[in-house]
Amino acid sequence: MKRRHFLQGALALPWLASCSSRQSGLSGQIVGANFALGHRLRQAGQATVRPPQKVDVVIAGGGIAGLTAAWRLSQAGVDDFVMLELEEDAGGNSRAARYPASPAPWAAHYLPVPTRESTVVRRLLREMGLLRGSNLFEEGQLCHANEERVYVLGRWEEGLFPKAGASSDDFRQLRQFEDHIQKWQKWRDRRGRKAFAIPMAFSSPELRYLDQISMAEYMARQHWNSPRLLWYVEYGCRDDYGCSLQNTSAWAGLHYFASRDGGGFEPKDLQFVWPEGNHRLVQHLERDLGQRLHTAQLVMRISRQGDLWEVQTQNQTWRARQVIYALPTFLRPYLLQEQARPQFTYAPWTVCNLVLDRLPPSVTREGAGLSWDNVLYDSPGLGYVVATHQTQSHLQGPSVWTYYRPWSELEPALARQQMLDSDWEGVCRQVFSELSPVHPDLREACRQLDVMHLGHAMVRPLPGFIWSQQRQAAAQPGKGIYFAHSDLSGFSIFEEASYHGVRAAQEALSDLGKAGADFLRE
Amino acid sequence: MAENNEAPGSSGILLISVFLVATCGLVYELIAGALASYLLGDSVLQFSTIIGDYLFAMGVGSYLAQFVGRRQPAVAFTRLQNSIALIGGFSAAAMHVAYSYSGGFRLVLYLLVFLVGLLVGVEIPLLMAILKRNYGFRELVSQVLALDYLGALLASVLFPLFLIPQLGLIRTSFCCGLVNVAVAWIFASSFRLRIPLLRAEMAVVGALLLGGLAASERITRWAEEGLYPDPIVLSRSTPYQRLVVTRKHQEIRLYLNNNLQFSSRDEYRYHEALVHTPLSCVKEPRRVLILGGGDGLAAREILRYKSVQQVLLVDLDPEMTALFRTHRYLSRLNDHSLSDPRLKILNADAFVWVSENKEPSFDAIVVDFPDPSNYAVGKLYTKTFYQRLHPLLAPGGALSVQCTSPLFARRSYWCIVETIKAAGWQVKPYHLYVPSFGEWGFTLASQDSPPEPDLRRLPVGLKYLDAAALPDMFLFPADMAALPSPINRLFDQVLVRYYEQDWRSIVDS
Ligand SMILES: Cc1cc2nc3c(=O)[nH]c(=O)nc-3n(C[C@H](O)[C@H](O)[C@H](O)COP(=O)(O)OP(=O)(O)OC[C@H]3O[C@@H](n4cnc5c(N)ncnc54)[C@H](O)[C@@H]3O)c2cc1C
Repeated sequence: MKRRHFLQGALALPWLASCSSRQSGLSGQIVGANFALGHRLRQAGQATVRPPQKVDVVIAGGGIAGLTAAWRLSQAGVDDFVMLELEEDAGGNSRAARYPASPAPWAAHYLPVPTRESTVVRRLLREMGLLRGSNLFEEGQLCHANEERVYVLGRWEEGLFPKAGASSDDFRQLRQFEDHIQKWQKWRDRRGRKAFAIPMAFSSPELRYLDQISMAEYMARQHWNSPRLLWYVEYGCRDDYGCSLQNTSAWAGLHYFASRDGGGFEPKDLQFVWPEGNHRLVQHLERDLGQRLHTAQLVMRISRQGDLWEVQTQNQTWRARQVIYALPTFLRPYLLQEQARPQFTYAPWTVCNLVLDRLPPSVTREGAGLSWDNVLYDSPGLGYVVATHQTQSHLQGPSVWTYYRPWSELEPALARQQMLDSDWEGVCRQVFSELSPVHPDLREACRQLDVMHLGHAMVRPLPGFIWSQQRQAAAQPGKGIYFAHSDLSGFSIFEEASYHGVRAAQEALSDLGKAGADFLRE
Repeated sequence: MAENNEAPGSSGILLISVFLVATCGLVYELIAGALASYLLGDSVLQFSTIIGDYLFAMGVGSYLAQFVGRRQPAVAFTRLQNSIALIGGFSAAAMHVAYSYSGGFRLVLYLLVFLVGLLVGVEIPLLMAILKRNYGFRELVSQVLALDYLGALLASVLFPLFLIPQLGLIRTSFCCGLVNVAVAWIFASSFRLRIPLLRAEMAVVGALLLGGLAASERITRWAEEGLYPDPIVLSRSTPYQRLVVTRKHQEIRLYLNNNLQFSSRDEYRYHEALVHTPLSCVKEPRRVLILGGGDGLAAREILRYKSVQQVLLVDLDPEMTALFRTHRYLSRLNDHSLSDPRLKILNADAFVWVSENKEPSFDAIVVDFPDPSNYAVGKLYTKTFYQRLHPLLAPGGALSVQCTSPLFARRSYWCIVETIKAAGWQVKPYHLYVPSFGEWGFTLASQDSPPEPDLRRLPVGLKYLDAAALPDMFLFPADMAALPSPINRLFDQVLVRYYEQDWRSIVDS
């Protein structure tokens, strides 16, 4: 036995593995964001006009907010609606790419098990058969072991906190931080509300003062200065908000760590993960839309004409009694001709899908094995997510990796400019130079690299924004118009998008006199 | 001779030579240290003895330098450089081969380190002697030493960060050899040493090194082959695994990713236990499913039953099943089971296949996967996976699962058994001794009533299973007895951690 294992060890030596330096051809492109159409928004150019069509409800935008609004309308028996979506597919930031080896997410890639307050998500998951009663999961769709690993000082470690080389002070501060978060998880106000709930609307307003300072400031006030702890916490802010510690309000930063309480399920930190990311949820939501989904439709103007709303796209005018506006809030001045410019700011992201002929042999070297989420300590990108993690029971063969890069260190406008200026080769070079020290054989295994720049990927929870008057005002309906987008929460996750989608649909239903069950509470 | 015809700017070249000589020298030393600590273990010991050896050799070299190149220091330097190129350049390959094919690895290791150290030791004083013409003594010593140490710094940074990951050891050593030749060549040209023999020597060494570089993959493979106890008759890298077949006399062994899969001498024990235990529980089995088992050996046993009409074999790797279907020795081993008209091969990942499968159910299922040594393979040992097997089994059917060794990996074994039980199966754990593996374990499982193997159903012609052996397999002596264990779940694979710990404690002991 000894000899057999010993030989294995010897044979697994990195340098014995063949590493030919062949530079195989790499294909790929910058995809997505229907720029050509999108740019017409700011041009005065008039639309080609076909005879206007009439429907009861127009849903503008086919992201999660729009899709859940449609789902809610259908549940209430309201079927006379259309959904207008700019891209070729519905889903927005929860779309997916399709490759022969596996689909892969274009942006959103996981859904934590729902909190008790996430009634919309619970209902949806029950419908999908992922949740039976209130505690039975389809285990196969929860993230398989190992969930995440971090590369630090030349080795992979399980988990996200970079332990190698950490000092006892780093660990002490980490423990303090974790205890601190647990306290916030248990905290309730006099009316029994959580400190940090998902959906955020259920959070106690008593802690709004935490929104006034940045997470960086909060950490400083707690005397947390461990570089590793700061990295770890900032990683969370970059991951969910695309923001640095300075640009994340303390309320939002704490929300990230304290809000996912496991909803009574064990273990607490489970999440749903699919090869195609959250597009799995999109597929479920869009399955009954059929002809009502109109893609490649750029909504250019939404205006009130007498008793009706008129929604104009580049080639069609719709007249509707009600409009559900499921588009980013920053477009309102353009589309609704509103004078006020809401101070909603957005973090840009770049997402890349790397199509691999085979997993590079280096995935099994140096410590913890390949995981779903693979993070590099102290690196500009967030690392990569493995699309085949849930489907394969071997560590070879083809795969797709999704690489995430928030531009949190730059001002958004500057980052957007850089993104526009960068070409495909440049992005490839950046991605490989970041990942090659860890996977020297990656370039060779990679056949295709597709890039998506998301200029307005995520609303930014800057200090003071989440609990501001204007954020709350932006969600207020007008006459026959209802607002639904995740950015109305001040940060974008599936739970918030679906909350606003369902809320807007219910507001519309109630104006139609069809108020039924309140999905937001049961 | 053209000794004094020094070209302008050559002192710059000399200083660069010092730098490169130092860099390459240290790289050779690091290669030896890394190789020795990987192959022999105990890196502290290996590195200190190698550093000691190298420094001592340098000392000897420096002493001998006074006797070398008195008349023609430049020629001597060029020759030295060329020898370092040859010895150092081939050192990694030579050590690999020595490790695989002879008992004299340590001898070769220390000898090569010594030789390189010796030559480098001669070189530095020699270079100083040449440089003395252009520099004052103090200036000279300080410049040469500074560059020498700088070269060492460069080597120690380049080695782990760039050379090992990008080139690997063998290529690194050839590349350094080429650098040495290049230094020799440039040096000779700048001193206008127009000696045909000298040039020829350098050209030959350069060509040898280039040849070695080009063949380094083959050398690697050749060295690797030496690690198997028996001669390799076939080796193949498929996208999924590295497959090696060795043969000695009549014994054929299959290694997957360097793990022994079977030896033809005793695999019948393993496969009889794996197959006949579940099949003898079933009255007239007609449809049988094999998950894994691309070698066709389990299929061979299944096809012994006259009642069997269909066998479906689901294995990941198409090259593996093709090989065992067509290869002369290998298909003889499995009695051409993979070409049998009753058998259908499906190449798919079993984890995905069992969830999507729409096949009618089977009378018996044989589950034969590699051991759960990582989280990916570990999925095939989870509660979810075993639950997904339920719809695949017909009422009254039985199932067997290979479960690693209950002796060497006792916790792992019982963790698998508990997991199968938790997935709603009635289980009977069993084990037997397979000489080439040691004590090996399985689980027999069924759905409604406990599985009952029936001796009368065993086919004729078995070599191991009989009335005496069968009941014995279900008894576990104290050192393998059941341990309470948590179950292995997709999102929390305790088994993989157990497995790693269990086997590590065996290897370490
Ligand atoms: C890189 C990245 C990773 C993420 N990862 C996660 C994750 O793992 N989990 C998670 O829960 N969330 C994640 N998110 C957040 C994600 O954005 C939300 O989960 C959700 O998809 C937001 O949905 P939405 O409907 O609010 O917005 P959007 O997705 O922005 O939907 C708006 C829709 O409107 C369309 N549109 C825009 N303008 C027009 C126009 N003029 N005319 C017509 N249509 C128009 C857009 O094409 C889009 O389809 C991630 C986001 C990003 C950018």
